[in-house]
Amino acid sequence: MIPSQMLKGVLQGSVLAILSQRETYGYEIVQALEAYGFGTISEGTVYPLLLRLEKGGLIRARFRASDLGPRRKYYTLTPAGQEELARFRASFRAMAAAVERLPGFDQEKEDAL
Amino acid sequence: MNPQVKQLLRQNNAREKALSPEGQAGMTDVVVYLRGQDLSRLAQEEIRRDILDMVLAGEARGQTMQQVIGLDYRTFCDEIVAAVPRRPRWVRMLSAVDDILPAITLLLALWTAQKILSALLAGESVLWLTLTVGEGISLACIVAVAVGLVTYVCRTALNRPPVGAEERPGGLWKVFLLALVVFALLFLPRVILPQPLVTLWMPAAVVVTLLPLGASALLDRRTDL
Repeated sequence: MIPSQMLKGVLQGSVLAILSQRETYGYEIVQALEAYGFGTISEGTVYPLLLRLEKGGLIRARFRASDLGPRRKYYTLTPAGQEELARFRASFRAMAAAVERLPGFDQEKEDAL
Repeated sequence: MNPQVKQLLRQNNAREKALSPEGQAGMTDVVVYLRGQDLSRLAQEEIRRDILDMVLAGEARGQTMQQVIGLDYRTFCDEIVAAVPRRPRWVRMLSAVDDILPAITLLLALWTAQKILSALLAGESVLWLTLTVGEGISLACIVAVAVGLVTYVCRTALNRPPVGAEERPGGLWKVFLLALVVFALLFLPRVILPQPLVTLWMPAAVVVTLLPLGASALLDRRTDL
């Protein structure tokens, strides 16, 4: 299970990455996060984040009628959101590379040495 | 109230009835807490609509509100408030004034009615109504206590008692006694300060009574959105 403090740092970028695939709604985002291995995250954790992204102009929201019930709020990435996602990817790769270089993190390299 | 906000409020009130009793209780706590935060009425109702959507959909899947929102409603609400851009200071001040204007109209209407009735019963003229110093102070104190009470109720709506805490015996009596004391103190100035402050021609008093309500209707156009 990913500790919550660690998850906080990547949740925004992860949500942007999910939204880059297609227009989707809150519960589907939560299900996608779980499917990708982030563990069980409640909609209560994701909704304030979506609100912040919307107010910040990184995502856009619109209501769409759903087949099964009342209309839902669907979110999609804006051009500013695409740029933010690109920045997140670059930052995360740099951080992941740095962490991988730490002692004990790359077992294969240590075994070879 | 702004017509857009009024419509959204009606829709949200109607949809909330479809929630389970647990969901309704939880939504009430959340909405009361949000009412005490720095959010415009439109933002409050839009957020309420979104939370209702989530909880209703969750209940349709067989989930409780706690399973949908999480266990910590307060953190959930605080994060929502933090996500909304802060309103300019002057709008927040206008909104605070706007909130008390209808109450001022109500108090002035009660004062006017009481004065007219007292004059009629005493066989005196109802054309001139005198506001005393004590009555003016009493009205101001009533508004201040009401604002304080509402703020306290909103801010503590999501406070949970410590686990295992028992209800203190006689707690309700203490609240009742405190309410009596506060009530007495609020009306004491009327008794000890009978000096006249201002005398109004009765039709003018009616106009003055309605002025705060009119001002509120104008302010709503800016502060509600």
